[in-house]
Amino acid sequence: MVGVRDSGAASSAEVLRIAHLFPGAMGLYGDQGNVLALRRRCEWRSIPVEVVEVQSGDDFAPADWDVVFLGGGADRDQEAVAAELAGMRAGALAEAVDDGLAMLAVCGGYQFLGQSYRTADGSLLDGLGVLPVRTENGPGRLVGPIEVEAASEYGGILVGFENHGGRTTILEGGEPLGVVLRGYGNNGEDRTEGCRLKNCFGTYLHGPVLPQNPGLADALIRAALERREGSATVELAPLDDRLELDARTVAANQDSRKKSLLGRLGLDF
Amino acid sequence: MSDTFRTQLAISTGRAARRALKLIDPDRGTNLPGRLALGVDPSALRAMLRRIDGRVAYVSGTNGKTTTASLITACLRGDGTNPISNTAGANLTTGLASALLTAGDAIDAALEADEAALLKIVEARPPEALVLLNLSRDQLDRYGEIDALMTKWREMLDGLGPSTRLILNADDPRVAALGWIKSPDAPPRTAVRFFGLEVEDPAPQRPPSDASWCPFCEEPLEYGRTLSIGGGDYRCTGCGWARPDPDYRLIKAKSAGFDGFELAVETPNGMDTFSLRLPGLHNAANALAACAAASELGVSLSTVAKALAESRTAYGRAEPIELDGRAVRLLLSKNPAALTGSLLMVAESERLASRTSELPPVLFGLNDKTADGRDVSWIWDVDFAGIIGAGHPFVASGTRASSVALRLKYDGWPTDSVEVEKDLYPALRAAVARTPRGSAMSALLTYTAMRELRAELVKRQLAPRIH
Ligand SMILES: [Zn+2]
Repeated sequence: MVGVRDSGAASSAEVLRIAHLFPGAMGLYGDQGNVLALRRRCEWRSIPVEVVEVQSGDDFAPADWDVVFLGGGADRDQEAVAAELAGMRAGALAEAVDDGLAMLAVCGGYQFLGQSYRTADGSLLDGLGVLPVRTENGPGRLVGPIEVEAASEYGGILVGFENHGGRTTILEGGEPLGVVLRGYGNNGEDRTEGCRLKNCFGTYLHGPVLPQNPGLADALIRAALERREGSATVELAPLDDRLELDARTVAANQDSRKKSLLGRLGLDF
Repeated sequence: MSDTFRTQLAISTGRAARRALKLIDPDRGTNLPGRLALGVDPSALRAMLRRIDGRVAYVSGTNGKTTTASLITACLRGDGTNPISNTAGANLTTGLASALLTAGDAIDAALEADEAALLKIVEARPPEALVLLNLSRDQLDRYGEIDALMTKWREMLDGLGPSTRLILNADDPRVAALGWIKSPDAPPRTAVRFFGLEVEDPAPQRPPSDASWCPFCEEPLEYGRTLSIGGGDYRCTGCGWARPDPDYRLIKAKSAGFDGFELAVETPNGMDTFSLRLPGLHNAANALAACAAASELGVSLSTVAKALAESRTAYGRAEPIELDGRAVRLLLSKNPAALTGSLLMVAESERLASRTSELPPVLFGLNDKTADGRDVSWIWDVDFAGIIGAGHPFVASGTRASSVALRLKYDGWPTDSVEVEKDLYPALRAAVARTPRGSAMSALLTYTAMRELRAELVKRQLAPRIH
């Protein structure tokens, strides 16, 4: 894949610029759908938008962007980009987030944004130090449908599918994205899910999370526009979200425990 | 043959269950008899495998197991034997045990095995030919699980003797790398035969999203020619390891849409051409793999070509059914690679058809039951618009019909161009009703959606039972 950095629209201040970090290596499980959701929801409102895929080796200056997205990858791919992410002026990313940069990081990307990650063999890897969380590998994976109650400005109920071995703890200064109603969330114990710092969100929700939780997608777009325009309140034009909310309802009703009688007897042939 | 009493009891229990189930419902019985037999004696699988004293081929990989195993079965049959097979997609140990329970005097076997079940049966009875097709993301293969599986497969291969011929896909770097013992500095394993496609893929070319790192030095792989079904012609930018030259090559694949291909293969035993009545480039690759396996088992190339040319669709794989004067094709589409392959077939057949009337709709039935994988986010990895074009008539169905409709909306479909009908059979009737008479439509289905819809069609006597 080649970066599309040379797109002519890039210099226009009117265009909402979205950086998709390492879409190849950090592109597991449909999480690229999040970027598509942001793009379409801008297009449907006639907000000029441009998505740029930032590749390994590209120069990336966080302050140049309106929205930044980082997904998760397979272990090997994550390791391969870890060094690069760390060398990416993590300080600059933290500064941009402190300045109100809208950012979403999912699963492996969420863990990377934290302070540290303790692997299964006990070694401690440094994170980017953007979000006040730390993660430890735990026994087994936390897998299944998840439902979270978040603030109404993010759409209230958020639904998704989680699949992670890491247990994440929120440290001082961080606040959870929401409270787990069903599923595991950050660690399966304290009922928190995700972490928010200003306009930067980390979450374990796949699905992908933004298309079926349009409130969170719009919160990111709104935050990006408000930061760019230096305005306290930007009103987004309403969209017809019936299909989004239908899909969210079906996902929310996905029963994690239902099994047929035959299945319970081990005879599910 | 000195089976213990317990093993004999296990086998007779399984056989009795099989007979009983056949009376209730001939479609059943692909797993339960084996489960009961293994419940009586877990070592019964090993005992039954060891009874096979003829030629044995095992086939594994993420996609194409069923078709490849059934094509090898056809080749062995063409060679005059009556091989054991488990070609109903029952590829876990219970399904394998169920298939082996039926073995009377069969001396050969062509068995498909799930990636994990393969380890068990190879250990129990090393095959004469072991075919490894591909490793791509499936509902289970996430977060490094493919890498863990690679390590296990590598250990399995290290333990095999020279009597097992390894048949490896040269186009998939992770599978091809298994052909070397530790590093590519030394020559490949002696018992390896590679197969590979050397044709231009007319379908949309996208760089492979998985298989992008060198399995040896973990530097990025650089691709020349890429295949829509995954993989292609690669070279490592670090250590220089590159796609091995295949022993079995597909040098021509002229597509006739859903009617299949004209194929030409080049093998160590010569060259041959034949028509394959299975559509999709992935099936051309499966046929090449089967050709390699059967040839290595001693079947002559002319017998192989004849058997492949006469083969028809395996259960649930592009199986044609007639409904109200329209042809309906059921295509198992259980992961991103398989769904992409199905959509490519639809696009290819529409390109070939000279069309005057409206396009028939595509039906996609997406279930999220355990056997399908509970997480349906993989549909966002499939380029619907890029393959069939945004706005193509579409019916979304299955337990997650609304997630399909949502995916299409974000890929550019106007909301009113997608019909949402959760129940599979009514959805199929709706899609057929929108299909011009005399035309064909395609129903793309995840695993349980296929099983449910097929059962419904059998109940209504619209599709034949599978025995
Ligand atoms: Zn290399």
